[in-house]
Amino acid sequence: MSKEKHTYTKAKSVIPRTTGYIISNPHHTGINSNLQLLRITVTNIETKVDFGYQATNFFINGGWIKISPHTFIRANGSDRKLILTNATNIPYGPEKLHFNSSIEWRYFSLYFPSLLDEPRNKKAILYNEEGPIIKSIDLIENENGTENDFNFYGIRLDDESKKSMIY
Amino acid sequence: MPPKSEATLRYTVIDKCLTNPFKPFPTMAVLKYAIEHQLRAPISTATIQKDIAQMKLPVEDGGYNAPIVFRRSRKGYEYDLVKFPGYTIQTFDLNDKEIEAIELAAGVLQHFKGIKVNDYYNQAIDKLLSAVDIKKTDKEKSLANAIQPEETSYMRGMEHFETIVSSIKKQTPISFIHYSYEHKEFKAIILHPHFLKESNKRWYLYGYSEEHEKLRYFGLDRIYDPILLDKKFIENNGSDLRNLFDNKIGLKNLRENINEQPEDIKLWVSETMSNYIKSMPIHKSQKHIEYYGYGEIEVTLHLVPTYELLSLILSYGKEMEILSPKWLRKKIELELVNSISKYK
Repeated sequence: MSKEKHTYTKAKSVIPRTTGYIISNPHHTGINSNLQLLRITVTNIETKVDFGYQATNFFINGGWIKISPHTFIRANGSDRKLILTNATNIPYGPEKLHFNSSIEWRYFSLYFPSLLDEPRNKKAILYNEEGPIIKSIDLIENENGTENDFNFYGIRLDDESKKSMIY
Repeated sequence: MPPKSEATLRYTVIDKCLTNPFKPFPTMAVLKYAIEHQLRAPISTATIQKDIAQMKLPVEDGGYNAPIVFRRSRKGYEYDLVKFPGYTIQTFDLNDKEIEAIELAAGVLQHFKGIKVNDYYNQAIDKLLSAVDIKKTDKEKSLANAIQPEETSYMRGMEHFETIVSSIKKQTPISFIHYSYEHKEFKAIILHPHFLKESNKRWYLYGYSEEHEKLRYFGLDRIYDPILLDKKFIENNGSDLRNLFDNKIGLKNLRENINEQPEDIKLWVSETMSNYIKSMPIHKSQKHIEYYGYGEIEVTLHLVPTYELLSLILSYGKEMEILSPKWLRKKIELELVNSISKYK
């Protein structure tokens, strides 16, 4: 009788592994010169948008920033608004973060539901086996806002040169 | 005489073989194979026999007092567990000199507590300190203040240390946000990291930046939210990374070209400072070229001029003067004129 060879397999983790991609310095048509849209992280868990804000010379002490809790992102071709779920390093309005001088800066992040959860009933959006193929998104703080609002349109997610998969 | 590190490694392998319950009574051939496999180098039977003899020696002779016996009936070695139940050299006590050496090292390590190298670092230091503490008498405990290195304060960005070290070890590109103090702007960077470098108590990450398309370094205190990426790693193309900063003090060149060549810098040092400069040279390239009757000296350095070198020379005030090159002398003069204007 031949001896049966035993093989062992690693137990699968109960915590789902985060999968997704980042877009570095994405193209967009933003309007606020002091605010830089730096990186978008799209995962199966959430969508995270990273910003850098350089305080302005317009105000003696650098001014202030805040973010509306009604801020949302919307995929190009979809009418579904994904509302802000969390914000780090920036307060929700009407509370404000006041700078002490015009040379200060602030790195902050906004969190939204996952763009990869876009339902399959949207005709304008293409899908592959990994999920929806989203070419671009808008990030809107105030839909009919001024240049002081954090509104970004046509943020491109389909530029392969700026896209990297997460480890 | 304490055993050398490679010998200690051989003793550890022999000990593992002798305490392996699944393969008792290892023969000489088994020991030889295990050691060669571990050291990845051939080893002679005579060396192993000497190692066994050394392990059997009493502690005061540098041995482990190991009860190793050869069983003719089994043609192999074992520990005499009847007389010494549960014996292994892994639980063997350290001798006084070894404890003293560890106490010294632990004293130095204690000053680095609080820096978040990784989740287990502080825990490991605590364990080491408490283990050493058990061995000490009250009188010896008062010696804890005998070593007082400079305190290392917390720097922003050290919380990323573990992630960054992991990316270097795995050769995994990393994405992070960087804020430039100089240009007052943010950038999302993708870096293929090569190493971490400490300079003036600050840590810098060095590697190939995709955005800049060249090798760059980034201060850890200006790095935000690092993310490991699943993409092909761009390796260092042959330059010796260990010697990369040998020709400079600090990192930031006074002239922008990162590949700048070192040059001779001639300094005059006052009699007040000359002994300090002689006993602890500014840089390993330092040479004393002239001595004056009153104790002043002239020294040369062979360096790439950096902002850190400039700060260092300025910190000596009237006790140090740049003689050449002229451009660097002019730069120092300008700095001093600007400084004086603040006090007028």
